[in-house]
Amino acid sequence: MRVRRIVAALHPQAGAPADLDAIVELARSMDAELLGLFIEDIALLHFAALPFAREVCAASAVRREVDVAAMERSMRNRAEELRGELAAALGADPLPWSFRIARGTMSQQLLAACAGQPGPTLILPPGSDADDEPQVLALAELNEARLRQLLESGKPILVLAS
Amino acid sequence: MEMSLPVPRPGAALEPAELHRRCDPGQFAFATTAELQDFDAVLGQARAESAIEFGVGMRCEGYNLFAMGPEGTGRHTIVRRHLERQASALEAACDWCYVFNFDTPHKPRALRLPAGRALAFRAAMERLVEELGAAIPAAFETDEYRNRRREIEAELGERQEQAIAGLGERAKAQGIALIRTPGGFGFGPMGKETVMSPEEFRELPPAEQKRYEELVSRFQEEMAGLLHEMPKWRREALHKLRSLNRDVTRAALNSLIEELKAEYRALPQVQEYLARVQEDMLDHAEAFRHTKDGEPPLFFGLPLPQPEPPEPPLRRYAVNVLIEHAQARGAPVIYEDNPGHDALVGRIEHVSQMGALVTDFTLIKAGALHRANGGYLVLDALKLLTQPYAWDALKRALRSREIRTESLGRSLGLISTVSLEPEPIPLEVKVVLVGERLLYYLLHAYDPEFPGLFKVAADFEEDMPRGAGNDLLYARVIATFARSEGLRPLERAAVACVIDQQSRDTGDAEKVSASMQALVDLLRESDYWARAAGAETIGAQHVRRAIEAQIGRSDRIRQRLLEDVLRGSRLIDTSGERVAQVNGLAVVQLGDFAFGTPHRITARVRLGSGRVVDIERESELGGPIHSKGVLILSGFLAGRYAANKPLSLAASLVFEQSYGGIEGDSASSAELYALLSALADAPVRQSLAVTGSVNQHGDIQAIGGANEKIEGFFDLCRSRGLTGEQGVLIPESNVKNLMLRQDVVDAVAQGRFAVYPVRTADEGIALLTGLPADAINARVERRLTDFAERARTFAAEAKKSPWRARPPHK
Repeated sequence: MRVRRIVAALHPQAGAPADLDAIVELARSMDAELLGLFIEDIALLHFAALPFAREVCAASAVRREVDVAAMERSMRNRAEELRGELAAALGADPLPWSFRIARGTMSQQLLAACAGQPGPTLILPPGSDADDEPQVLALAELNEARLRQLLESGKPILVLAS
Repeated sequence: MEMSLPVPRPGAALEPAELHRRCDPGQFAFATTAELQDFDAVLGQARAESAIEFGVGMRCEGYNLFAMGPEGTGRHTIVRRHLERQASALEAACDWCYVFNFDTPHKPRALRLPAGRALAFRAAMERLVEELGAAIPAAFETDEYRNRRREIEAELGERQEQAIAGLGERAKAQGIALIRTPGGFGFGPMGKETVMSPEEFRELPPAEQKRYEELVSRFQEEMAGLLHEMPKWRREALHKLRSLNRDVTRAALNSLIEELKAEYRALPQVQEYLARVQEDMLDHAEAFRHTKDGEPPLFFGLPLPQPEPPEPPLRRYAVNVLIEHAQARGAPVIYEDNPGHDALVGRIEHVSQMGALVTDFTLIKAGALHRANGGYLVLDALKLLTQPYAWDALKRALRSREIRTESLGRSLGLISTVSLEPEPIPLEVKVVLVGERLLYYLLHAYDPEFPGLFKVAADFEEDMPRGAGNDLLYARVIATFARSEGLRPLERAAVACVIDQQSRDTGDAEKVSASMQALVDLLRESDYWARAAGAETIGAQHVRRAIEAQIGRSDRIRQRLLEDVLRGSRLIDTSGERVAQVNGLAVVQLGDFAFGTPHRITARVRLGSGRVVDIERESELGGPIHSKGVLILSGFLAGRYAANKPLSLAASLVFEQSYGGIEGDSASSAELYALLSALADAPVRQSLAVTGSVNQHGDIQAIGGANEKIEGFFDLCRSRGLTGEQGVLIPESNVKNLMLRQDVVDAVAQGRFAVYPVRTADEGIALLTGLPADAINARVERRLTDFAERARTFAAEAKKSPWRARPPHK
């Protein structure tokens, strides 16, 4: 069985940077199409819209006000960074790849990315180890609640085509 | 009226044998110098040699030497020979290295090692670094190290995650969600799964909103407190990691460095240095691990703090061998030909990095003092004194007995680039300065430190006595030079000719020159002419040819002056007689060539106040010694002829057609004869020339350059034709100096020229005028008495009717 597509879920949170080199290496070894899916977490936008939203900076422990515009800007910047890093990791490799930004919850957006795919798709949740043994399930069994449950383990998920 | 004067008594002239003391080739038993053995000792410098031996042997402070004497007397050779002999009996000097100072990097440390061990030590340190370059990375590649490192990283990660998760749980219990943002952490009221949407929040009652806001604020504070703690946890983990790294490095390092320490067990200074190296390597193991440029090692995703030395990481363990004596036999003897400041005390070089000049301990270079440390240093005094700040630097080093290498620009405050202050190196050296006597006396007089630092003076002679024994030794010296210079052997006649010339150079028939430079030059040039003639050996004719060629290359001015006289531009008579006119003789020194030339000296006398006017002095063309000679004439005249009456004489003396300066008193006798001739109205023979100074008693005293003066007049007379009446009057005390040219001696032998030794002015004036001295003296006395009486008459008349008191004509 050949994995046709790898969806690397990328999120804007601080800490635990994605190991893009390992992801690219995996895609290359499987000769699979790679999709970098940056998810603008809706929860972050909800948080930023609160009247007393404050962010405690991880580096300085300073509290600073945030608003939706600042959060969107911050997420855009992070997305651009990740796109650049992914392109750099790929280099001149002819591997087919794309990078997409989607807004919503992680489970919703990954579900949408898997829907209608003809072949098996490997989902790499944020911060997951690409070399870990994947959790396997059929596309027909996939729904949002199930996907959310699988994502919590932090391990790759292999979705088999129906 | 001119009248013919009788020729001076032939018996008064010198015999040809007295004019030139020839070295007799017959005294030599050898045919050529090839048969003679080398002469290794030094001829005629016993005093200087004894002083050098004493100075070299004295190991006390301040007993440095000053070898003084004229150029070419073999000062350098003799000094070097003595020093090398003494040095060979001493132990080889220590090696010196500069190494990194781990406490104060800008003050490199000096390490002393036994002779010949510095290079081995440098190689051992290079090998240590090379071996550690393999051993340390290998130690860090082991599974054990990786596991222990991962443990530390995991421990820190878990500690942080658990703390954050714990806070998240407590918040969740209060209905507050913890959310990770791109920049950190945030808290908000919890909705169904995660943070409540703004719409849901707005629908809450105001009191509920207020409660959430307060709770969020509290958890934010707690999170801030937690984040403040995290650097401390990270430091603790780093400390553990560093400790781990040191343990791993120590395991790799200890066996290697302990081996090295054992090798240098006997050298505490090296032991101490190696201990510091060991400690420093434990802290700088990263330098051996070959990380990629610009990629510092990471710890938990964060760059590890590293002590970043300004120099390339492993360069600090290099050893700069400043001076080593691996091949040395005995103590060093160093001659520094260019004794500038840096050449003496060493220099600190810089390299350009990104447009800035930087340096480190490996760029310290040794100076002559370093090389000579433990031995001897020979310097040319004049070169040393003409190099800026070199003399001060040498004195400072000798006084403080240490070598402090310091950039001159920095010590003068001219350059403010990064520089070093290397640890001074203890100095134990004996310095020998070689220079002219004048320099020694000037330094002694004007530099208060000099007498204390250079207590031994070795005074070299310019000449040495001649004699049968010395002639043979001199012949061996000639043979030694001929061999060492690769020249043809000299025939014994050539040797005699060389000795004659060396004697002539001293201006003394009883001496021979100690100038080895002039001797070697003459030998080389004689060899050239022998080669040109295709001869196997150097003959007397080749030596004579060399001397003639030397003169021929230098005598353009002499020829021009002679030509001026022969063409009548300069008026010099060599025949006839004339009152108050005498041929004086002067020596002109141009470079290393001296020659004599005649000058017409004239005198005028009249009634006056007893003053002899030196026109040369009045026109500022005469020097003080010349003036002194003229003033002595007044004393002579007054003392001899006017002891009981006023000297009512006004006289003037002049060197005719002299447009340059005149110095010296060797013409004072000629000037006296001109005066006496003028006073006595007695004509002077122009076929004679005169040299010699005179004192107040009328004694004729020795002068210099007698040979050149006689030959100068002889050349003029010969050009006009020798008549047999021509000759020169010289002081009798100069007879011993005569080493005249062969052609002059030959002319005297044939009765065509004469040299008259004169002891007193009376003898001289008798020869010049052909009249007995008593007759001349009587005439002079009469003339002066006449002047005195006339002066008294004038004075009496002036008293009766002083012209100043006369009323003006109306």
